[in-house]
Amino acid sequence: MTDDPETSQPLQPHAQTPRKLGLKLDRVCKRFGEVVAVNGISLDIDHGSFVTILGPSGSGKTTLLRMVAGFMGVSDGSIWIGDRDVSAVPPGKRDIGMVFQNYALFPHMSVIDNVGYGLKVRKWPAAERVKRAREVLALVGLAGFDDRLPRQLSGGQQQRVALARAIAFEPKMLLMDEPLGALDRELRVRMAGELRRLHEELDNTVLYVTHDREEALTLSDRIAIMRDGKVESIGAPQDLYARPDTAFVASFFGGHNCAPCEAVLGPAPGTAGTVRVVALGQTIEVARSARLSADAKQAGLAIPGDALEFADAAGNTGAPAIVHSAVYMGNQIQVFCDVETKDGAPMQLRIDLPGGRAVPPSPGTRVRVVVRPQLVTAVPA
Amino acid sequence: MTASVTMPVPASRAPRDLSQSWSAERGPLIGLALAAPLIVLVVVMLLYPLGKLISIAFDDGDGFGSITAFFSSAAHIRTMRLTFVDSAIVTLVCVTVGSVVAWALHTTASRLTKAVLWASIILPFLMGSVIKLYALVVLLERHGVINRALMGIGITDSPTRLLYNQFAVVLGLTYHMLPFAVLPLLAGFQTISPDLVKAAESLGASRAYALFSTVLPLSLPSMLATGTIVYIICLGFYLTPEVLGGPTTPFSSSLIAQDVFQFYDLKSASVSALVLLVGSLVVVLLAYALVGRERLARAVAA
Amino acid sequence: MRKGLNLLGIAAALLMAGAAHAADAKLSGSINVATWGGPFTDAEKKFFGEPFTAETGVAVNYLAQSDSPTGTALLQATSGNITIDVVNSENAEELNSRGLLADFPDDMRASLENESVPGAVLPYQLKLAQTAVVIACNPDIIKKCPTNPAEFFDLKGFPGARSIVIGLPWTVLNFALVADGVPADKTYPLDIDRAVKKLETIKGHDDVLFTQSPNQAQQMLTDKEVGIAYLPHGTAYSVAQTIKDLKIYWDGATMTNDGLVVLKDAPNKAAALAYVRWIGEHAEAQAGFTKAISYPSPSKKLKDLLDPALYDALPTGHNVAPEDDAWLVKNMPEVQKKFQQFLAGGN
Repeated sequence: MTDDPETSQPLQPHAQTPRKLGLKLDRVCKRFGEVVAVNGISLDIDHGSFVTILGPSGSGKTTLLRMVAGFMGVSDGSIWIGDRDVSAVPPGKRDIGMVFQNYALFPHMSVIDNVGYGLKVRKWPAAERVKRAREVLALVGLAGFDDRLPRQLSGGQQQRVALARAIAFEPKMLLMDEPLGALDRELRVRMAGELRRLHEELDNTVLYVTHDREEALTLSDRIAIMRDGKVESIGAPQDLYARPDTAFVASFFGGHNCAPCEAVLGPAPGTAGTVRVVALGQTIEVARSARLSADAKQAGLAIPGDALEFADAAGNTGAPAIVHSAVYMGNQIQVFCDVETKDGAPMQLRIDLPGGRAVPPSPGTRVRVVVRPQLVTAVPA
Repeated sequence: MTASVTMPVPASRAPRDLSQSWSAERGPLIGLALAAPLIVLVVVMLLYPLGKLISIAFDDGDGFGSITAFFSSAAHIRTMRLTFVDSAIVTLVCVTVGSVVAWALHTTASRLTKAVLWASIILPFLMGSVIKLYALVVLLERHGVINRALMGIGITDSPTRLLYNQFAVVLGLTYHMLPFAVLPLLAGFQTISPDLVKAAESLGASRAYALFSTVLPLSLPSMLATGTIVYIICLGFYLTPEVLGGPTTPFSSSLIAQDVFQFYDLKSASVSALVLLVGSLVVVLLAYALVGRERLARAVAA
Repeated sequence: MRKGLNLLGIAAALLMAGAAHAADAKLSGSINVATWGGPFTDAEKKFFGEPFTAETGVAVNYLAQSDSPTGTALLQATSGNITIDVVNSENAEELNSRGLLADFPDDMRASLENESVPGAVLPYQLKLAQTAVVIACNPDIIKKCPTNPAEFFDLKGFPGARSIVIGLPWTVLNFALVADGVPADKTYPLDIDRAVKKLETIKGHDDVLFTQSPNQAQQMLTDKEVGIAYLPHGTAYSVAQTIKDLKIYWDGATMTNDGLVVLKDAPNKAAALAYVRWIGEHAEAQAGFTKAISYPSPSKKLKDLLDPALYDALPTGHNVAPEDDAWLVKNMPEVQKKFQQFLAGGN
């Protein structure tokens, strides 16, 4: 998570295999007139890894995917798949498989013909085509559906056909554009598991686009978080969650609270990578994001919900607050508190308490909030 | 005693007060009543004249004598051939060119392209047919723009006759009918996701094969339907063949007009009209059989 | 067929038939005249209709039937719903042979005969606006103009694109016969087969265009699409207003038999007859009409009322043989069918 997007260092998901480049983006730009949709993205992805592009809508992630697929040209920069510059290669010659959000199955073709399409254009003999298509259908759990038409299948089954179609001819690169977006939640979780399992069995690189952080967490070796046409941060899911390096990553990806520091006291003596700050009425020593310079005068804190807890309301530790609302969620209770700040600016924090049989505090209760510094990261304000 | 025998009628069986009854399903009579004006129109404007037409064609009791006379006339045979063959060419060109235009309209992201295409469809659509014809005459005549251009770039060294022949008729009809082809084709294409072509391309197909293997089979019914519309309209054209073709390349309607207004021969005109009508009907039935079966297959599959 | 836009043929005819019905001929004091439209009708309206209305209070509606007023009258007679009173008929014999025309009352006929040149008044018709079909040639683009039918048919000797107006098929047959060597006053009865054979010699040639309507021929001449045309004299006269050098040759022409007739079942027959009589008795009005559009009028005094150049532009000013109406009526179906076969059949 300490990676600068400009000089990102690829992770190695399969440590024993020698490193091989799967996809390389070199200062890729896409402009639509005045609008810059993708603004100079550079990214190296190892062959065999599963990388997710996560970002809110309008962040440029779909544009990026379409450029990799070849449906859009690059305005600037170049795209490499394997060791080949494909910037000026048509989609059909890029050796990619793509899964579309709406599946884009050919409605007039049977399942077996859909899956065999890529083999047909590659001039496979009919018998081998059918054999291979059946293998792949078995792989995605759809054996015996050969002669159905897409409209006779459920959403999840269509999703599997789309996947089978995209991997049947064993492309080096598999692109997926929010492939689970159209499924209901339960199916989405199950399919995500299967996608991951399939990925372990196949020898390809996956570029996966989504706006759903749970999908990203479940599936990815690495996650690139996009914002305004740029990669804001890239890293393994655990790193991005536990040590977000910007406020945006903390809130959008981690779902963490973001609170300003009342004062930054400078590095703690003897410990590199930490900083002492004053926040929520406490002086604490927290981890420092690489993006935050050691002598910064201002900083924000990324505070996970479970890094906050209540102190004795009558005491004087922590910050005074009033419970605004509380939501019981089974294994936890999310309590939203309005914290009294010195300058009177409104600040609401989410506190995750253990759930179970605990009773949520009622709104209006006066409380004091304290923070556990071990889980907190200081990020640029 | 007798009074106590009366049982309260269960609410669900209560006789309905018809003035206040409401039913989610419409009765068949309401549909019929709503369609009544149309039915009257069909009877008065279609069936009655048709009956009249048939009675004029066969009125002197010599059975199929008038039909035989029609088919033994070289003029009528050739006119029918011209009408049906030229219309077929026009239909083919309109559906082909129309498909390209409609697909471009459906898929282009460029507002400028879209605007230009729409303008090129709508403007001729709004222009009177006489103006369109005159424009074509001005373009095609011996000293017209095209001839001058051809001579200017040295392809020909003397003016070529572009007007008053079959070529001019086919061109004029195509020009006239193109909007009628583009609009239904566009409606058909709008049910086809452009992602299908992208999917095919991502699977390794060339752009051409992607279109050929996805869009073409999916839009075949709408192309057939469009072709039928264009063909039927073409068969009845009068003005365009008359002005751009002239009397030596007539369409059936010209011969019918001649029969009515010049020869006062309603019988011959009626027979021509009937032959044209039967020809059109055959085309419609054929198209219906083709498109209908396709639709049927889909309906059964779904 | 000599006036107006043939282009709008059927549609116009149907529309006008509807309009005529809507106008409700039963309204006292109005008559409907089926006519050609265009400048022809403008002249009728100005010189006949308006003064007639001013004098008698009878309104005159002109219904433009550019293809054929006679055909429209026949259609109305067939359907039994007659709204037309007067017809500017190009084929009065046809209407008369079907018993559709009213004979003029004796006193009216006597008066008309007294006013008109010999032959202009028939029991049911006052001849007006007869047509001769002539050769016109634009010397600006034609080096050697054909001056008679034989030269017109000589494509090699007299090269250049030419248009032949076929709206009056028998005049074309007549033209071909003269070209084939038959003297102009001996063409009737028409030898149709011989005429068609002669026509076949030029059909399909790139320089020969058959055109349905005179307007189209006029447009072709003014657009220089053709330099030569066989077309009604009135159209030729109209073209000569634009192309000043236009040459007109009368050799081999015959004169049609156009004129005013009143339908026997006309809704307002009395007013219709009065209208025809008014025209026949007003020489000045006739002269005005002829001046406006160069179609002849029947009045004896016409020659004195017109300047010699215009009088010379009229078929009545030339030695033009009249058509044989009786033969034409009897043989019209054959003439037309054979001519249609010639045009539309073959290649």
